Amino acid sequence: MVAFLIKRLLATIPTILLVTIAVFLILRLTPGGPAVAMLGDQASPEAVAALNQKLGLDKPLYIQYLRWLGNALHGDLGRSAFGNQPVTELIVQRIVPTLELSILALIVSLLIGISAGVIAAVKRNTAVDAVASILAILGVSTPSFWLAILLVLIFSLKLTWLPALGYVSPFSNLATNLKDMLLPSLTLGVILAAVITRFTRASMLDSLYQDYVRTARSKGLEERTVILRHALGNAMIPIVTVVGLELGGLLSGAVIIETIFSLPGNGQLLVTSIFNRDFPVVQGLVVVIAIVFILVNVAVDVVYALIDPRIRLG
Amino acid sequence: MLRSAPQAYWRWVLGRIWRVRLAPFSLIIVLIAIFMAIFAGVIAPDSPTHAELGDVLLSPSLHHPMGTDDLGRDVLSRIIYGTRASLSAGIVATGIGLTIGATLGLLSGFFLGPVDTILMRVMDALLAFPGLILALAITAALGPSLINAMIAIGVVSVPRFARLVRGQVLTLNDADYVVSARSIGARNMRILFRHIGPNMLTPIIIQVSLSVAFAILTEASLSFLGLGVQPPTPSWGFMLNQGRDYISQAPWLAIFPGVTIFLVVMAFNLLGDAVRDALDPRLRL
Repeated sequence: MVAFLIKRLLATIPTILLVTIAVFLILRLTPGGPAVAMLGDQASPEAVAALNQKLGLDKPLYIQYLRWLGNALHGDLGRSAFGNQPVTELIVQRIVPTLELSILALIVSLLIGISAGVIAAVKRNTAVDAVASILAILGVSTPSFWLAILLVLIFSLKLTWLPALGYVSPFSNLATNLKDMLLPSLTLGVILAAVITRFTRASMLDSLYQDYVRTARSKGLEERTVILRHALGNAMIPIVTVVGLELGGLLSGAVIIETIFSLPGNGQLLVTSIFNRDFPVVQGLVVVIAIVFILVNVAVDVVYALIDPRIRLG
Repeated sequence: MLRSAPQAYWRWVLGRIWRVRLAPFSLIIVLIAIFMAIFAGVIAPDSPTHAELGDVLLSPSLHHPMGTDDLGRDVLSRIIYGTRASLSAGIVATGIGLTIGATLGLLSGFFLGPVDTILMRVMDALLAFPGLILALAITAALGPSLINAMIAIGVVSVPRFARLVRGQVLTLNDADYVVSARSIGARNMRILFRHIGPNMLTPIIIQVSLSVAFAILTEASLSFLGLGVQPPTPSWGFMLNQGRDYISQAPWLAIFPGVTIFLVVMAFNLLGDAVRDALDPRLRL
């Protein structure tokens, strides 16, 4: 198991290096260079030169990259062009809301997606199946920001059950925090649940007609045990893969949801930094998000190997 | 006889798609959207940028079927004109993704070796970004505009097409008809464009349809965040962002653009599903 994990982690190193190069080069595509973008077109050449020097942008590209990479390996992602705060510190300060939103949304999506998918497959070709399938199609095509606005309209403005925006840290008041997080995580979770429903249904349909399910039934096991333990247990393998892929949607969705609900997380930090043209923050944040995405997919591979004994570790 | 074979095939394909559940519905929505984009100037009841300060935040009525916004502009007209930004983003971004991605995928799958290794490593790196995050990074560098949003979304789509086409080339490379063509001395280019190319059209069409849906949704997201189409040009995403500020007084400002994005994205998604269901039942979900 450990050997498998180490092998998978080592395999990510070239990808992570390419990711850092890609982000580095993309942000240097800026017309006129990052310094001009940050200071505006009217900036004097002296001011541009001074900022270039401050950010090390006057050096050749490969030196800039190697210097940035060397610092990044020591946890130093540079400093914000505004306020001079270290990028790593900014990211760490805002990690809790993002982590919370992602975990809660994932839980919501798994609860809704797996239950709806299992029910749709078990009640195949009935009205229940049709409703679940239609809802799944609706979910895939609904913009998260629109759903967020609709939920705010219904639950915050009309019914006044939940707050429309605001955030209290879970460490200061957990109850208020969960109330604040309910609408954001529901919005994101429902959208992700759509894809999970479709894959769970397909995977369950495949599993329900396998020999082991027939054997389990013929042994006289309860239908509930047959479905949940034997059919769903085996159907989980493709579902885990899809959850891994959906994490990209989770991280992308977090950017929009945090912006709408004013959650002080990294998604909101990314959007604000893009507007402020704070390139060191954008660069650091995008690299961190991509690395998290890569590492979570390694974790998904490990879970995949753990739940499917047919996959050889090593 | 030979010349009519592809036509007969496409007629058969269309016939099958038409019989898939919800496919006619999605095709009609796509056609309406295309019609709205082309004839916006003729069918829109008003100019999308004409502000009438006496008509601010009017609720839907016969005169303004979708109401008016905070500047008194007709929401229906803005939605009709907004189709242009959304559809062009969908088509151009997918075009960029398809052209570059398919070319790289063909080269990679056909020549294999170091070309394949290098190209696929780069594609893996691009796939390592969540779609919207990569699009945001590119927009951050290029600056907010519709063109830059299209480029950003196009770049995000490149690795998906490259991976798909490479996989198809690898599979088709061993097909009997390709082996036969090679054995009678057909050149690489002929094999690629005459034999391999046409046979991977089905998965490409499915991916194109899904990719247009993704591009429209991502453009709307970027415009919603203020990083896509810039005002006063109407775009569905930005209209929703503006509508958010008036959600309690004028909910129609957020509801109608949202319904429009949803319907068009759903239509392209369903169309992709319909092509897959019609032509490759093994992949049916």
